[in-house]
Amino acid sequence: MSITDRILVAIGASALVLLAAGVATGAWLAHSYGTLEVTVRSHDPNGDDVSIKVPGVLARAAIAFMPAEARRESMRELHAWLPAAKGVMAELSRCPDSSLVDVKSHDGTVRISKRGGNLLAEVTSSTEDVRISIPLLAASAVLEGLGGLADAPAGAGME
Amino acid sequence: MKRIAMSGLLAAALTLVSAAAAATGQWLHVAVDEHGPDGSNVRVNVPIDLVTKVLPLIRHEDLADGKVKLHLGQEEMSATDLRAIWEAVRSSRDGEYVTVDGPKDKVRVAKRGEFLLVEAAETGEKTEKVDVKIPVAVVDALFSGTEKDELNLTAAVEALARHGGGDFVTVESDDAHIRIWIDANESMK
Repeated sequence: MSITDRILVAIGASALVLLAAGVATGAWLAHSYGTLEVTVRSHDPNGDDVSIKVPGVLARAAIAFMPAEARRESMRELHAWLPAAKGVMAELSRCPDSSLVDVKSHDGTVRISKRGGNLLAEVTSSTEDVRISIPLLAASAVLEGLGGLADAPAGAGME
Repeated sequence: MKRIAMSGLLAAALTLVSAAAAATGQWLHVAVDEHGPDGSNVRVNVPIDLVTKVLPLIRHEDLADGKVKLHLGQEEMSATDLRAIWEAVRSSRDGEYVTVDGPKDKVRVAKRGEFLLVEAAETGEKTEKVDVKIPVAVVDALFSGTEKDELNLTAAVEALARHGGGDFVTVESDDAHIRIWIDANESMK
């Protein structure tokens, strides 16, 4: 094997190792950030059922794609509440699985609970059932991202 | 080498102990049961640690750093007056301090041992009975703010958690039964 071949083999092997490491890191991130799930089941035979599953790791990245005006508007509304929201996520991550809010009425039920690393909202009514599962780690990452926007100098990263 | 390892173990043990001490493990529960066929049932379970950690982070109107600014009718009574009244009650013997005995309303505010008791009852077309039982240490903590016109909510919740479990508000009316209490269970037993 010539010296050139050896160099090419070394570069190829390094590229493979880097690719494998990248895939493994991506898989680990996707796994640890969980999946944001929204499911709507209509009770109407002609109604539409909706199921959305988004990897949590994409949630923070999605902030970058928000229109600048929408980001400015949401930052205005969220700025005062961001530290508290981040605090809630951090404390919820630490607390054991539990039912946080449970409302039962003749119209339906609302339940907000913590299950594993997810905040789960389940609403049942006479017309439809809605289930939203938010991975706490992904929610924290989104709040961190929004916090970064809030801390950035005016105009930076907004356009 | 052994000394370093022992110091490390000791430091780790102390960290674990202080972390365990910092976490109260107590839960605040609210149960609302509306009467009648259309009545709703509401259950709220919140870790006390969440309340004490998040309260200081909320900044909204009169609430900041876990303290709320009091706005009483300033000409008639200020927060300073309220604090002074509490100091007087606190240092006095057990007894009934306020008694209102009207045709429809009855109110009693008393100090019994380590508790401040408030009992209010309304009779007539609609009946309602409110019982509040707050540890004296909680009211102390509530008035522990450095500013005279503020109530220290975070300190009060921490004091409530330190005091341990028990009911502190119950309301029984024609419309609903409300109960607020603290215990170490994450769900209602």
